[in-house]
Amino acid sequence: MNTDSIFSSLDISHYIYLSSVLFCIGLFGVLTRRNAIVLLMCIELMLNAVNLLFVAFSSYMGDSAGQLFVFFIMVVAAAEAAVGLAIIVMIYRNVRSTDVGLFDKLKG
Amino acid sequence: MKSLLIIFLGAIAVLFFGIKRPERKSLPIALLVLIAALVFIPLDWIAFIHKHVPDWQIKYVPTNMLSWDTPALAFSGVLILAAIFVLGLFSKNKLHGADLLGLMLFSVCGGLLMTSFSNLIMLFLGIECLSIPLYVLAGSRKSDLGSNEAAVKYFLLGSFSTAVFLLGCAFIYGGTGSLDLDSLARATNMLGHMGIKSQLVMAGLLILMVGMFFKIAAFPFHFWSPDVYDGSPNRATVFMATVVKIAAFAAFFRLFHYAFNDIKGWWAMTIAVVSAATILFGNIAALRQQSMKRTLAYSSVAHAGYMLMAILASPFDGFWALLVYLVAYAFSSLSIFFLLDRTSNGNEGFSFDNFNGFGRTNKFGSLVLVIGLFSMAGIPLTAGFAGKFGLFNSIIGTYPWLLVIALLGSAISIAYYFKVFKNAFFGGEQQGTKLELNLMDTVMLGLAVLVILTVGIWPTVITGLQIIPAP
Repeated sequence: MNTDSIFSSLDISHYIYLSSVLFCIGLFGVLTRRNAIVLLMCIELMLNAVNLLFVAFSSYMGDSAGQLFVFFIMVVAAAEAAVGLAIIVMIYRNVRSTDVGLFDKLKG
Repeated sequence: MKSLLIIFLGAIAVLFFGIKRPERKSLPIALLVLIAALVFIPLDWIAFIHKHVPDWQIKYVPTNMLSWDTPALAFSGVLILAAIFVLGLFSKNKLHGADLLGLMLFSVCGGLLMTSFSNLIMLFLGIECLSIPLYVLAGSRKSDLGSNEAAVKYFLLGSFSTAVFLLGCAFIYGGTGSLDLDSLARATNMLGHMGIKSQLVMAGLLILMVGMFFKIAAFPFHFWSPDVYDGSPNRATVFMATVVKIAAFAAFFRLFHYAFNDIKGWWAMTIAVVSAATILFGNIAALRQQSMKRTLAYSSVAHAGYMLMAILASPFDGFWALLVYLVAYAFSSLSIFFLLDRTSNGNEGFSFDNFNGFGRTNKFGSLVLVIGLFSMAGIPLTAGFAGKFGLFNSIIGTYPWLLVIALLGSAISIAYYFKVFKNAFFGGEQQGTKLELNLMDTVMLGLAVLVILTVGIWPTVITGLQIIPAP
Protein backbone atom coordinates (compact mmCIF):
# COMPACT_ATOMS: atom_id res chain seq x y z
CA MET A 1 0.00 0.00 0.00
CA ASN A 2 1.52 3.32 -0.95
CA THR A 3 1.30 6.40 1.24
CA ASP A 4 -1.00 8.16 -1.19
CA SER A 5 -3.94 5.93 -0.46
CA ILE A 6 -3.44 6.20 3.31
CA PHE A 7 -3.88 9.94 3.18
CA SER A 8 -6.76 9.86 0.76
CA SER A 9 -8.59 7.29 2.86
CA LEU A 10 -8.47 9.58 5.91
CA ASP A 11 -11.68 11.43 6.58
CA ILE A 12 -11.57 15.25 6.70
CA SER A 13 -12.59 15.14 10.37
CA HIS A 14 -9.19 13.67 11.28
CA TYR A 15 -7.49 16.74 9.90
CA ILE A 16 -9.90 19.01 11.75
CA TYR A 17 -9.17 17.21 15.03
CA LEU A 18 -5.43 17.22 14.45
CA SER A 19 -5.24 20.92 13.68
CA SER A 20 -7.60 21.78 16.53
CA VAL A 21 -5.34 19.86 18.93
CA LEU A 22 -2.23 21.57 17.53
CA PHE A 23 -3.93 24.94 17.82
CA CYS A 24 -4.92 24.24 21.42
CA ILE A 25 -1.35 23.20 22.31
CA GLY A 26 -0.17 26.56 20.97
CA LEU A 27 -2.96 28.36 22.80
CA PHE A 28 -2.10 26.60 26.05
CA GLY A 29 1.54 27.57 25.60
CA VAL A 30 0.66 31.22 25.04
CA LEU A 31 -1.45 31.25 28.18
CA THR A 32 1.04 29.50 30.49
CA ARG A 33 4.60 30.25 29.34
CA ARG A 34 6.39 33.47 30.28
CA ASN A 35 9.41 33.48 27.96
CA ALA A 36 8.83 35.81 25.01
CA ILE A 37 10.63 33.53 22.54
CA VAL A 38 8.60 30.49 23.61
CA LEU A 39 5.45 32.59 23.23
CA LEU A 40 6.52 33.47 19.70
CA MET A 41 7.03 29.77 18.94
CA CYS A 42 3.59 28.93 20.36
CA ILE A 43 2.00 31.54 18.13
CA GLU A 44 3.83 30.06 15.13
CA LEU A 45 2.43 26.66 16.12
CA MET A 46 -1.08 28.11 16.14
CA LEU A 47 -0.53 29.62 12.68
CA ASN A 48 0.77 26.32 11.35
CA ALA A 49 -2.24 24.49 12.74
CA VAL A 50 -4.38 26.91 10.72
CA ASN A 51 -2.20 26.29 7.65
CA LEU A 52 -2.73 22.54 7.98
CA LEU A 53 -6.47 23.04 8.26
CA PHE A 54 -6.56 25.28 5.18
CA VAL A 55 -4.58 22.79 3.12
CA ALA A 56 -6.76 19.91 4.28
CA PHE A 57 -9.99 21.73 3.38
CA SER A 58 -8.50 22.93 0.13
CA SER A 59 -7.51 19.44 -0.96
CA TYR A 60 -10.80 17.96 0.29
CA MET A 61 -12.90 20.39 -1.70
CA GLY A 62 -10.61 20.59 -4.72
CA ASP A 63 -10.49 24.37 -4.41
CA SER A 64 -7.19 26.21 -4.67
CA ALA A 65 -8.10 29.36 -2.69
CA GLY A 66 -7.22 27.74 0.63
CA GLN A 67 -3.71 26.86 -0.52
CA LEU A 68 -3.27 30.42 -1.76
CA PHE A 69 -4.20 31.66 1.70
CA VAL A 70 -1.54 29.39 3.22
CA PHE A 71 1.20 31.06 1.17
CA PHE A 72 0.11 34.45 2.43
CA ILE A 73 -0.04 33.22 6.02
CA MET A 74 3.51 31.85 5.77
CA VAL A 75 4.87 35.09 4.29
CA VAL A 76 3.16 37.27 6.85
CA ALA A 77 4.19 34.97 9.71
CA ALA A 78 7.79 35.40 8.65
CA ALA A 79 7.46 39.20 8.61
CA GLU A 80 5.73 39.11 11.97
CA ALA A 81 8.45 36.91 13.47
CA ALA A 82 11.10 39.33 12.22
CA VAL A 83 9.42 42.30 13.89
CA GLY A 84 8.67 40.26 17.00
CA LEU A 85 12.28 39.12 17.41
CA ALA A 86 13.45 42.70 16.93
CA ILE A 87 11.13 43.78 19.74
CA ILE A 88 12.40 40.96 21.95
CA VAL A 89 16.02 42.01 21.27
CA MET A 90 15.06 45.58 22.20
CA ILE A 91 13.60 44.53 25.56
CA TYR A 92 16.52 42.20 26.20
CA ARG A 93 18.92 45.14 25.87
CA ASN A 94 16.97 47.09 28.45
CA VAL A 95 16.14 44.50 31.09
CA ARG A 96 18.57 41.65 30.29
CA SER A 97 15.74 39.13 30.19
CA THR A 98 13.05 37.88 27.85
CA ASP A 99 10.60 37.08 30.63
CA VAL A 100 7.33 38.84 29.87
CA GLY A 101 6.32 38.43 33.53
CA LEU A 102 8.75 41.25 34.35
CA PHE A 103 6.57 43.65 32.44
CA ASP A 104 3.96 44.74 34.91
CA LYS A 105 4.70 48.46 35.14
CA LEU A 106 1.53 49.47 33.31
CA LYS A 107 -1.42 48.86 35.58
CA GLY A 108 -4.69 50.44 36.57
CA MET B 1 -7.62 52.03 -5.80
CA LYS B 2 -5.68 55.16 -6.79
CA SER B 3 -5.46 56.33 -3.17
CA LEU B 4 -3.96 53.03 -2.12
CA LEU B 5 -1.33 53.18 -4.85
CA ILE B 6 -0.48 56.80 -4.08
CA ILE B 7 -0.01 56.12 -0.38
CA PHE B 8 2.03 52.99 -1.02
CA LEU B 9 4.41 54.70 -3.45
CA GLY B 10 4.46 57.79 -1.23
CA ALA B 11 5.47 55.71 1.78
CA ILE B 12 8.47 54.33 -0.11
CA ALA B 13 9.38 57.85 -1.28
CA VAL B 14 9.17 59.20 2.27
CA LEU B 15 11.41 56.41 3.55
CA PHE B 16 14.08 57.17 0.94
CA PHE B 17 13.82 60.93 1.27
CA GLY B 18 14.10 60.74 5.03
CA ILE B 19 17.22 58.59 5.29
CA LYS B 20 19.53 61.49 6.12
CA ARG B 21 17.13 64.28 6.96
CA PRO B 22 15.31 65.04 10.22
CA GLU B 23 11.75 63.88 10.45
CA ARG B 24 10.17 67.30 10.22
CA LYS B 25 11.61 67.80 6.71
CA SER B 26 9.84 64.66 5.46
CA LEU B 27 6.56 65.59 7.13
CA PRO B 28 5.32 67.87 4.30
CA ILE B 29 5.87 65.06 1.80
CA ALA B 30 3.95 62.59 3.92
CA LEU B 31 1.10 65.07 4.36
CA LEU B 32 1.09 65.85 0.65
CA VAL B 33 0.87 62.15 -0.20
CA LEU B 34 -2.09 61.69 2.14
CA ILE B 35 -3.86 64.80 0.82
CA ALA B 36 -3.34 63.64 -2.77
CA ALA B 37 -4.82 60.28 -1.80
CA LEU B 38 -7.75 62.00 -0.10
CA VAL B 39 -8.52 64.05 -3.22
CA PHE B 40 -9.04 60.87 -5.22
CA ILE B 41 -11.71 59.56 -2.82
CA PRO B 42 -14.51 61.99 -3.88
CA LEU B 43 -13.37 61.76 -7.51
CA ASP B 44 -13.63 57.97 -7.40
CA TRP B 45 -16.96 58.28 -5.61
CA ILE B 46 -18.49 60.50 -8.30
CA ALA B 47 -17.05 58.34 -11.05
CA PHE B 48 -18.43 55.23 -9.36
CA ILE B 49 -21.93 56.65 -9.03
CA HIS B 50 -21.95 57.72 -12.67
CA LYS B 51 -20.42 54.39 -13.67
CA HIS B 52 -17.40 56.03 -15.29
CA VAL B 53 -14.90 53.77 -13.62
CA PRO B 54 -13.57 50.88 -15.65
CA ASP B 55 -14.37 47.55 -14.05
CA TRP B 56 -10.76 46.67 -13.43
CA GLN B 57 -10.46 49.63 -11.08
CA ILE B 58 -13.53 48.84 -8.99
CA LYS B 59 -12.88 45.14 -8.74
CA TYR B 60 -9.15 44.87 -8.71
CA VAL B 61 -7.83 42.27 -11.12
CA PRO B 62 -6.99 39.39 -11.20
CA THR B 63 -9.45 37.75 -8.84
CA ASN B 64 -11.74 40.32 -7.21
CA MET B 65 -9.60 40.81 -4.18
CA LEU B 66 -10.57 44.43 -3.51
CA SER B 67 -13.84 46.18 -4.20
CA TRP B 68 -13.95 49.98 -4.13
CA ASP B 69 -17.67 50.51 -3.73
CA THR B 70 -19.07 53.62 -2.05
CA PRO B 71 -19.10 52.29 1.56
CA ALA B 72 -15.43 51.35 1.13
CA LEU B 73 -14.64 54.81 -0.25
CA ALA B 74 -16.49 56.49 2.63
CA PHE B 75 -14.55 54.63 5.32
CA SER B 76 -11.30 55.12 3.39
CA GLY B 77 -11.92 58.85 3.25
CA VAL B 78 -12.46 59.12 7.01
CA LEU B 79 -9.40 56.96 7.61
CA ILE B 80 -7.09 59.06 5.43
CA LEU B 81 -8.46 62.25 6.96
CA ALA B 82 -7.75 60.94 10.46
CA ALA B 83 -4.22 59.96 9.38
CA ILE B 84 -3.62 63.50 8.05
CA PHE B 85 -4.62 64.97 11.41
CA VAL B 86 -2.48 62.49 13.36
CA LEU B 87 0.59 63.33 11.26
CA GLY B 88 -0.09 67.06 11.24
CA LEU B 89 -0.79 67.48 14.94
CA PHE B 90 1.62 65.03 16.56
CA SER B 91 4.92 65.51 14.74
CA LYS B 92 6.85 67.63 17.18
CA ASN B 93 9.62 65.18 18.05
CA LYS B 94 13.24 65.76 17.14
CA LEU B 95 13.86 62.28 15.75
CA HIS B 96 16.25 61.72 12.93
CA GLY B 97 15.07 59.79 9.90
CA ALA B 98 11.59 59.40 8.51
CA ASP B 99 11.10 55.71 9.20
CA LEU B 100 8.23 56.27 11.62
CA LEU B 101 6.39 58.44 9.09
CA GLY B 102 6.94 55.79 6.43
CA LEU B 103 5.66 53.09 8.77
CA MET B 104 2.53 55.12 9.47
CA LEU B 105 1.87 55.46 5.75
CA PHE B 106 2.30 51.70 5.28
CA SER B 107 -0.09 51.18 8.14
CA VAL B 108 -2.64 53.41 6.41
CA CYS B 109 -2.23 51.19 3.31
CA GLY B 110 -3.22 48.22 5.46
CA GLY B 111 -6.19 50.20 6.72
CA LEU B 112 -7.32 50.86 3.15
CA LEU B 113 -7.14 47.15 2.37
CA MET B 114 -9.35 46.52 5.40
CA THR B 115 -11.98 49.02 4.29
CA SER B 116 -12.18 47.70 0.75
CA PHE B 117 -11.46 43.97 0.90
CA SER B 118 -13.72 41.56 -0.90
CA ASN B 119 -11.85 38.42 -0.02
CA LEU B 120 -10.79 37.07 3.37
CA ILE B 121 -7.18 36.84 2.16
CA MET B 122 -7.14 40.60 1.62
CA LEU B 123 -8.75 41.20 5.00
CA PHE B 124 -5.99 39.16 6.62
CA LEU B 125 -3.26 40.99 4.67
CA GLY B 126 -4.87 44.32 5.57
CA ILE B 127 -4.96 43.49 9.27
CA GLU B 128 -1.31 42.47 9.20
CA CYS B 129 -0.20 45.43 7.09
CA LEU B 130 -1.92 47.67 9.59
CA SER B 131 -0.58 45.93 12.70
CA ILE B 132 3.04 45.10 11.93
CA PRO B 133 4.17 48.75 11.51
CA LEU B 134 2.19 49.55 14.65
CA TYR B 135 4.15 47.06 16.75
CA VAL B 136 7.24 49.07 15.82
CA LEU B 137 5.53 52.41 16.42
CA ALA B 138 4.36 51.30 19.87
CA GLY B 139 7.95 50.52 20.80
CA SER B 140 9.50 53.53 19.11
CA ARG B 141 10.83 55.01 22.36
CA LYS B 142 13.47 52.35 22.60
CA SER B 143 14.93 53.11 26.02
CA ASP B 144 11.58 53.69 27.74
CA LEU B 145 10.37 50.61 29.61
CA GLY B 146 6.71 51.59 29.28
CA SER B 147 7.05 51.79 25.51
CA ASN B 148 8.87 48.44 25.48
CA GLU B 149 6.13 46.83 27.49
CA ALA B 150 3.47 48.27 25.18
CA ALA B 151 5.30 46.93 22.12
CA VAL B 152 5.67 43.42 23.58
CA LYS B 153 2.07 43.25 24.75
CA TYR B 154 0.72 44.63 21.50
CA PHE B 155 2.86 42.28 19.44
CA LEU B 156 2.00 39.13 21.41
CA LEU B 157 -1.71 39.86 21.69
CA GLY B 158 -1.88 41.10 18.10
CA SER B 159 -0.33 38.02 16.57
CA PHE B 160 -2.25 35.77 18.95
CA SER B 161 -5.54 37.32 17.87
CA THR B 162 -4.50 37.04 14.23
CA ALA B 163 -4.03 33.30 14.73
CA VAL B 164 -7.49 33.04 16.32
CA PHE B 165 -8.98 35.08 13.47
CA LEU B 166 -7.31 32.78 10.92
CA LEU B 167 -8.68 29.66 12.61
CA GLY B 168 -12.13 31.19 12.25
CA CYS B 169 -11.47 31.87 8.56
CA ALA B 170 -10.33 28.28 8.08
CA PHE B 171 -13.50 26.84 9.63
CA ILE B 172 -15.69 29.14 7.57
CA TYR B 173 -13.74 28.15 4.47
CA GLY B 174 -14.35 24.52 5.37
CA GLY B 175 -18.05 25.11 5.91
CA THR B 176 -18.78 27.22 2.84
CA GLY B 177 -15.97 26.34 0.44
CA SER B 178 -15.16 29.93 -0.32
CA LEU B 179 -13.13 32.93 0.82
CA ASP B 180 -14.74 35.49 -1.46
CA LEU B 181 -17.34 37.83 0.09
CA ASP B 182 -19.85 37.36 -2.74
CA SER B 183 -19.64 33.58 -2.70
CA LEU B 184 -19.69 33.59 1.10
CA ALA B 185 -22.88 35.63 0.95
CA ARG B 186 -24.41 33.14 -1.50
CA ALA B 187 -23.38 30.19 0.67
CA THR B 188 -24.71 31.70 3.90
CA ASN B 189 -27.88 32.74 2.11
CA MET B 190 -28.44 29.10 1.22
CA LEU B 191 -27.66 27.95 4.76
CA GLY B 192 -30.00 30.57 6.20
CA HIS B 193 -32.91 29.83 3.88
CA MET B 194 -32.70 26.07 4.13
CA GLY B 195 -32.29 26.23 7.89
CA ILE B 196 -29.13 24.11 7.87
CA LYS B 197 -27.08 24.45 11.04
CA SER B 198 -23.58 23.96 9.68
CA GLN B 199 -21.40 23.29 12.71
CA LEU B 200 -18.23 24.27 10.88
CA VAL B 201 -19.65 27.66 9.95
CA MET B 202 -21.03 28.23 13.44
CA ALA B 203 -17.71 27.36 15.11
CA GLY B 204 -15.89 29.47 12.53
CA LEU B 205 -18.14 32.46 13.12
CA LEU B 206 -17.65 32.27 16.87
CA ILE B 207 -13.85 32.02 16.59
CA LEU B 208 -13.77 34.77 13.95
CA MET B 209 -15.78 37.02 16.27
CA VAL B 210 -13.36 36.35 19.13
CA GLY B 211 -10.49 37.35 16.83
CA MET B 212 -12.28 40.55 15.81
CA PHE B 213 -13.19 41.36 19.44
CA PHE B 214 -9.49 41.18 20.26
CA LYS B 215 -8.72 43.58 17.43
CA ILE B 216 -11.34 46.15 18.39
CA ALA B 217 -10.73 45.59 22.15
CA ALA B 218 -14.27 44.57 23.15
CA PHE B 219 -15.00 43.53 26.72
CA PRO B 220 -13.65 40.10 27.61
CA PHE B 221 -10.73 40.63 25.22
CA HIS B 222 -9.94 44.28 25.92
CA PHE B 223 -7.32 43.79 28.66
CA TRP B 224 -4.34 44.58 26.44
CA SER B 225 -5.62 47.89 25.13
CA PRO B 226 -5.30 50.19 28.20
CA ASP B 227 -1.71 49.01 28.79
CA VAL B 228 -0.76 49.44 25.15
CA TYR B 229 -2.43 52.85 24.88
CA ASP B 230 -0.79 53.95 28.12
CA GLY B 231 2.74 52.80 27.29
CA SER B 232 2.97 53.81 23.65
CA PRO B 233 4.25 57.23 22.60
CA ASN B 234 1.36 59.68 22.23
CA ARG B 235 1.49 59.67 18.46
CA ALA B 236 1.21 55.89 18.28
CA THR B 237 -1.59 55.94 20.85
CA VAL B 238 -3.67 58.42 18.93
CA PHE B 239 -2.98 56.52 15.71
CA MET B 240 -4.34 53.37 17.35
CA ALA B 241 -7.31 55.19 18.81
CA THR B 242 -8.36 56.74 15.51
CA VAL B 243 -7.00 55.12 12.33
CA VAL B 244 -6.91 51.55 13.68
CA LYS B 245 -10.39 51.79 15.20
CA ILE B 246 -11.80 53.14 11.92
CA ALA B 247 -10.19 50.38 9.88
CA ALA B 248 -11.17 47.62 12.30
CA PHE B 249 -14.81 48.69 12.47
CA ALA B 250 -15.06 49.21 8.73
CA ALA B 251 -13.72 45.68 8.24
CA PHE B 252 -15.98 44.18 10.92
CA PHE B 253 -19.01 45.93 9.41
CA ARG B 254 -18.15 44.92 5.86
CA LEU B 255 -17.49 41.29 6.73
CA PHE B 256 -20.63 40.75 8.77
CA HIS B 257 -23.01 42.75 6.62
CA TYR B 258 -21.78 41.57 3.24
CA ALA B 259 -21.05 37.95 3.99
CA PHE B 260 -23.06 36.83 7.02
CA ASN B 261 -26.18 38.97 6.89
CA ASP B 262 -28.46 36.04 6.06
CA ILE B 263 -27.44 34.06 9.13
CA LYS B 264 -27.79 37.00 11.48
CA GLY B 265 -29.62 34.84 14.02
CA TRP B 266 -26.42 32.88 14.63
CA TRP B 267 -24.29 35.79 15.73
CA ALA B 268 -26.47 38.80 16.55
CA MET B 269 -27.09 37.87 20.20
CA THR B 270 -23.37 37.35 20.92
CA ILE B 271 -22.55 40.78 19.55
CA ALA B 272 -25.41 42.40 21.47
CA VAL B 273 -24.23 40.90 24.77
CA VAL B 274 -20.58 41.81 24.10
CA SER B 275 -21.63 45.33 23.14
CA ALA B 276 -23.57 45.78 26.39
CA ALA B 277 -20.75 44.34 28.51
CA THR B 278 -18.15 46.51 26.75
CA ILE B 279 -20.15 49.71 27.28
CA LEU B 280 -20.70 49.02 30.97
CA PHE B 281 -17.22 47.76 31.71
CA GLY B 282 -15.38 50.41 29.70
CA ASN B 283 -17.22 53.27 31.32
CA ILE B 284 -17.02 51.94 34.88
CA ALA B 285 -13.30 51.16 34.54
CA ALA B 286 -12.64 54.61 33.06
CA LEU B 287 -14.25 56.15 36.11
CA ARG B 288 -11.67 54.61 38.44
CA GLN B 289 -8.52 55.75 36.58
CA GLN B 290 -6.08 58.31 37.93
CA SER B 291 -4.14 58.84 34.70
CA MET B 292 -5.94 60.72 31.97
CA LYS B 293 -4.31 58.69 29.21
CA ARG B 294 -5.68 55.49 30.76
CA THR B 295 -9.09 57.09 31.18
CA LEU B 296 -9.14 57.88 27.47
CA ALA B 297 -7.99 54.32 26.73
CA TYR B 298 -10.89 52.85 28.70
CA SER B 299 -13.27 55.35 27.17
CA SER B 300 -12.13 54.13 23.76
CA VAL B 301 -13.04 50.59 24.90
CA ALA B 302 -16.50 51.93 25.77
CA HIS B 303 -16.78 53.68 22.40
CA ALA B 304 -16.00 50.36 20.71
CA GLY B 305 -19.01 48.97 22.57
CA TYR B 306 -21.27 51.65 21.11
CA MET B 307 -19.92 51.10 17.63
CA LEU B 308 -20.66 47.36 17.86
CA MET B 309 -24.35 48.34 17.75
CA ALA B 310 -23.87 49.30 14.10
CA ILE B 311 -23.07 45.66 13.31
CA LEU B 312 -26.46 44.68 14.79
CA ALA B 313 -28.44 47.30 12.88
CA SER B 314 -29.76 46.91 9.37
CA PRO B 315 -27.00 47.47 6.78
CA PHE B 316 -28.22 50.87 5.62
CA ASP B 317 -28.93 52.48 9.03
CA GLY B 318 -25.90 50.82 10.54
CA PHE B 319 -23.61 52.16 7.85
CA TRP B 320 -24.61 55.81 8.28
CA ALA B 321 -24.65 55.61 12.05
CA LEU B 322 -21.20 54.00 12.13
CA LEU B 323 -19.77 56.52 9.68
CA VAL B 324 -21.03 59.53 11.65
CA TYR B 325 -19.90 57.97 14.92
CA LEU B 326 -16.42 57.24 13.56
CA VAL B 327 -16.04 60.82 12.33
CA ALA B 328 -17.19 62.16 15.70
CA TYR B 329 -15.04 59.80 17.72
CA ALA B 330 -11.92 60.30 15.58
CA PHE B 331 -12.02 64.09 15.65
CA SER B 332 -12.88 64.46 19.31
CA SER B 333 -10.16 61.94 20.30
CA LEU B 334 -7.68 63.79 18.13
CA SER B 335 -8.38 67.16 19.72
CA ILE B 336 -8.38 65.87 23.31
CA PHE B 337 -5.25 63.76 22.84
CA PHE B 338 -3.56 66.75 21.25
CA LEU B 339 -4.27 68.98 24.25
CA LEU B 340 -3.18 66.20 26.63
CA ASP B 341 0.03 65.72 24.65
CA ARG B 342 0.92 69.41 24.68
CA THR B 343 0.01 70.14 28.30
CA SER B 344 1.80 67.11 29.76
CA ASN B 345 5.27 67.89 31.04
CA GLY B 346 7.57 66.07 28.66
CA ASN B 347 6.12 62.63 28.21
CA GLU B 348 5.31 61.60 31.79
CA GLY B 349 2.51 62.45 34.15
CA PHE B 350 -0.76 62.33 32.27
CA SER B 351 -2.77 63.29 35.32
CA PHE B 352 -5.96 65.29 35.28
CA ASP B 353 -4.14 68.07 37.13
CA ASN B 354 -2.38 69.01 33.90
CA PHE B 355 -5.56 70.76 32.93
CA ASN B 356 -5.81 72.76 36.16
CA GLY B 357 -6.59 76.36 35.34
CA PHE B 358 -6.43 75.60 31.63
CA GLY B 359 -9.69 77.40 30.91
CA ARG B 360 -8.41 80.70 32.31
CA THR B 361 -5.13 80.81 30.46
CA ASN B 362 -5.98 79.64 26.97
CA LYS B 363 -9.22 80.67 25.30
CA PHE B 364 -8.89 78.79 22.02
CA GLY B 365 -7.51 75.67 23.69
CA SER B 366 -10.35 75.55 26.17
CA LEU B 367 -12.91 75.94 23.39
CA VAL B 368 -11.38 72.92 21.65
CA LEU B 369 -11.33 71.02 24.95
CA VAL B 370 -14.97 71.73 25.73
CA ILE B 371 -16.21 70.82 22.26
CA GLY B 372 -14.09 67.67 22.18
CA LEU B 373 -15.35 66.55 25.59
CA PHE B 374 -18.97 67.35 24.72
CA SER B 375 -18.65 65.32 21.56
CA MET B 376 -17.09 62.37 23.42
CA ALA B 377 -19.87 62.46 26.01
CA GLY B 378 -22.58 62.86 23.36
CA ILE B 379 -24.01 66.26 24.26
CA PRO B 380 -26.41 67.62 21.60
CA LEU B 381 -25.13 69.93 18.83
CA THR B 382 -21.87 67.98 18.62
CA ALA B 383 -21.03 65.13 16.26
CA GLY B 384 -20.88 62.68 19.17
CA PHE B 385 -24.59 63.23 19.79
CA ALA B 386 -25.45 62.73 16.12
CA GLY B 387 -23.46 59.50 16.09
CA LYS B 388 -24.98 58.15 19.29
CA PHE B 389 -28.46 59.15 18.15
CA GLY B 390 -27.98 57.32 14.86
CA LEU B 391 -26.69 54.19 16.57
CA PHE B 392 -29.41 54.13 19.24
CA ASN B 393 -32.05 54.82 16.64
CA SER B 394 -30.90 51.95 14.47
CA ILE B 395 -31.30 49.29 17.18
CA ILE B 396 -34.22 50.67 19.18
CA GLY B 397 -36.74 48.31 17.59
CA THR B 398 -34.71 45.13 17.88
CA TYR B 399 -32.69 45.43 21.10
CA PRO B 400 -34.44 47.78 23.54
CA TRP B 401 -32.52 46.36 26.53
CA LEU B 402 -29.22 47.22 24.84
CA LEU B 403 -30.44 50.78 24.40
CA VAL B 404 -31.12 51.06 28.14
CA ILE B 405 -27.59 49.85 28.96
CA ALA B 406 -26.07 52.20 26.38
CA LEU B 407 -27.91 55.19 27.86
CA LEU B 408 -26.75 54.18 31.33
CA GLY B 409 -23.17 53.94 30.01
CA SER B 410 -23.42 57.41 28.46
CA ALA B 411 -24.60 58.79 31.78
CA ILE B 412 -21.60 57.23 33.57
CA SER B 413 -19.22 58.57 30.91
CA ILE B 414 -20.31 62.15 31.60
CA ALA B 415 -18.84 61.82 35.11
CA TYR B 416 -15.27 61.26 33.96
CA TYR B 417 -15.36 63.60 31.00
CA PHE B 418 -16.51 66.34 33.31
CA LYS B 419 -13.65 65.67 35.69
CA VAL B 420 -11.40 67.25 33.03
CA PHE B 421 -13.92 70.03 32.56
CA LYS B 422 -13.98 70.72 36.29
CA ASN B 423 -10.18 70.84 36.55
CA ALA B 424 -9.91 73.15 33.56
CA PHE B 425 -12.39 75.74 34.75
CA PHE B 426 -12.54 75.39 38.52
CA GLY B 427 -9.17 73.80 39.29
CA GLY B 428 -6.33 75.54 41.13
CA GLU B 429 -3.09 76.89 39.73
CA GLN B 430 -1.93 75.73 36.32
CA GLN B 431 0.40 72.72 36.52
CA GLY B 432 0.72 71.55 32.95
CA THR B 433 3.02 72.99 30.32
CA LYS B 434 1.68 76.12 28.73
CA LEU B 435 -0.04 75.43 25.43
CA GLU B 436 1.79 76.92 22.47
CA LEU B 437 0.19 76.62 19.07
CA ASN B 438 1.76 77.37 15.74
CA LEU B 439 -0.25 78.24 12.66
CA MET B 440 -0.68 74.66 11.46
CA ASP B 441 -1.88 73.45 14.87
CA THR B 442 -4.42 76.26 15.07
CA VAL B 443 -5.74 75.59 11.58
CA MET B 444 -6.00 71.85 12.15
CA LEU B 445 -7.66 72.19 15.56
CA GLY B 446 -10.04 74.75 14.08
CA LEU B 447 -10.92 72.33 11.29
CA ALA B 448 -11.48 69.51 13.79
CA VAL B 449 -13.85 71.69 15.83
CA LEU B 450 -15.59 72.79 12.65
CA VAL B 451 -16.10 69.16 11.59
CA ILE B 452 -17.46 68.20 15.02
CA LEU B 453 -19.92 71.10 15.06
CA THR B 454 -20.98 70.79 11.41
CA VAL B 455 -21.66 67.07 11.66
CA GLY B 456 -23.42 67.67 14.98
CA ILE B 457 -25.73 70.36 13.67
CA TRP B 458 -26.28 69.04 10.15
CA PRO B 459 -25.57 65.29 10.12
CA THR B 460 -26.98 65.34 6.58
CA VAL B 461 -23.62 66.59 5.27
CA ILE B 462 -22.60 62.96 5.75
CA THR B 463 -25.85 61.04 5.60
CA GLY B 464 -26.99 62.94 2.52
CA LEU B 465 -24.29 61.39 0.35
CA GLN B 466 -25.42 59.02 -2.32
CA ILE B 467 -24.28 55.46 -1.79
CA ILE B 468 -24.54 52.40 -3.93
CA PRO B 469 -24.10 49.13 -2.04
CA ALA B 470 -21.73 46.56 -3.39
CA PRO B 471 -22.75 45.20 -6.76
